[in-house]
Amino acid sequence: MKILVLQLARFGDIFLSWPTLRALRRKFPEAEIHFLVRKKFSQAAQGLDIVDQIKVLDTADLLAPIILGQEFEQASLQRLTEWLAPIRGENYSAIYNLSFSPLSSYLTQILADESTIIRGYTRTEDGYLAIPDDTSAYFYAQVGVNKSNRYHLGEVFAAVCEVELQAEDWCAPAQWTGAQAIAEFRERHELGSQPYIAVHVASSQAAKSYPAFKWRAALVRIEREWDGRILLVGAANERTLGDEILSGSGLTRTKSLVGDTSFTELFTLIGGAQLLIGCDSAPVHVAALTATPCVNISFSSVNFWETGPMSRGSRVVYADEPETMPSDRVAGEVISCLGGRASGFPAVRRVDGGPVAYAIEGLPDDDFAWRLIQAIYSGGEFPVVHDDLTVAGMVQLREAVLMALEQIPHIEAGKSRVQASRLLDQVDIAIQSIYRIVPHLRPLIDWFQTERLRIGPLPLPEIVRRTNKTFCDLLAVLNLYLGANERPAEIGV
Amino acid sequence: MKKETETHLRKALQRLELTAKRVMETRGYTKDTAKIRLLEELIKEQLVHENISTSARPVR
Repeated sequence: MKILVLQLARFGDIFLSWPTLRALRRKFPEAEIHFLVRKKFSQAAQGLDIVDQIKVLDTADLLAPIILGQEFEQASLQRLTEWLAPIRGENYSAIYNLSFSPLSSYLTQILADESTIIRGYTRTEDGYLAIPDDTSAYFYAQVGVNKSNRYHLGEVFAAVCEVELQAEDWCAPAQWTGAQAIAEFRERHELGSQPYIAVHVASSQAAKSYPAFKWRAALVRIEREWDGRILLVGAANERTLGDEILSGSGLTRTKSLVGDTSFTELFTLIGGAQLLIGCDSAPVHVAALTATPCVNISFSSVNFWETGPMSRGSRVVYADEPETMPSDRVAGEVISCLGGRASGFPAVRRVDGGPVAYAIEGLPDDDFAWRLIQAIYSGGEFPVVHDDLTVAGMVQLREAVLMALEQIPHIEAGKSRVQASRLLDQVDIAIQSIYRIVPHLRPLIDWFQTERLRIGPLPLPEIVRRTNKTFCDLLAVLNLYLGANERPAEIGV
Repeated sequence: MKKETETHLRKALQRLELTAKRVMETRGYTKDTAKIRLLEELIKEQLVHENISTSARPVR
């Protein structure tokens, strides 16, 4: 059996895929497992001894003829064809696409043949997005920064691949994080036996990053109240940020290693740390593999439920924007975390044993949308509606659904088809308006629209039947809230 | 991204979209069309932002 796993996102997503790859190896001990990543982020696939081959997508090489600017698209296509050929020749039994992007959907389709089991985004035979499995449909509908999903991406990846994660799947190579590696690291950086914490000073995007002057203020307080060492880490292009934090700070036990650690040394550094402090970034996901607790500074540009720290003992401190996160808040959380006590501030704690990775303490939590998601997908109880806007939205939505159900049977009929199509277009516009105006109904509408998208290219009678059923399913949910309404008979049943 | 590079990529994207449209009209959707679409997506990724997005981004 030969399996291909696609992960064409960034460093952090590749690290979040490691546990799933380990679980796949456990489930299929004899299978040949290949892992496809982008060349730019391929370092994150080092140390994956449970994978048989790492394959690399080199975007720069493929696009080079075009960037030369001489109308060389055909040359790029030729390079693409030559890159694809040996991978297609692998004849994979299964392709697991953990990338959830248009690009990866085309790639999956090209690399698969008729007998390949596909999970994750692919394409229909007429080129539209196809979502064969329910977990990927959940991802399409509910996962993202402005959505209400609370399942962690690490768990979602595992669900796409139909594997169960175990605690030991979250691990790093022993040669990088074992006692000898850490001892050598300490000697190299003259740390002696002092405890140290690691601070990742940047993030891939400004909206996720904490300003240098706030870092400086937080670290001054941490040095004042804790005796250990502080190591700043980051990429080579973040070196000036490390210097800026230290400049004029008076910090005496803080050392910048920004730009000075190799990839494997980053694992060693984080593995030996008592704590990692960082924003939404790859080191937080390294910490999950080295079992290092984190204080994760999170902002509204990130959904921490999906991409927060997974190591035990971690906490998330949240503010809408970097500018509104006080340095005292960060320092207070770090100091209390190091002391093994609650900070007294509102916080989000890493927890075990439930469907989600975190528990909220002292923060307002409007979890209606999340409970609605659980009801739709996992059979949970439908949450009670307390606001007039949502009730009004449901009433409008039901009217739109009933109109659609009246028109759908006419789609197959000759003369009335055009009129029915126009009215169904109006239904779609109405549903989009309700989506914009009533936030609590978005998970329900996203689920509905995704199920419609999944219908795909079929004979018209079957499309009509399935569309009718999808509208009927939506009506059933609305009737739960608004009272019984006679459910129209499903066509073809 | 340099303006010149962006211009090259945008023009290439336009030409590829036309090519794909012609292929679709004559041969329908094939693996060759899928390859053109894949190349289009590679280009579009560069034009949205230079860094590749994370898994959980809003663009599907």
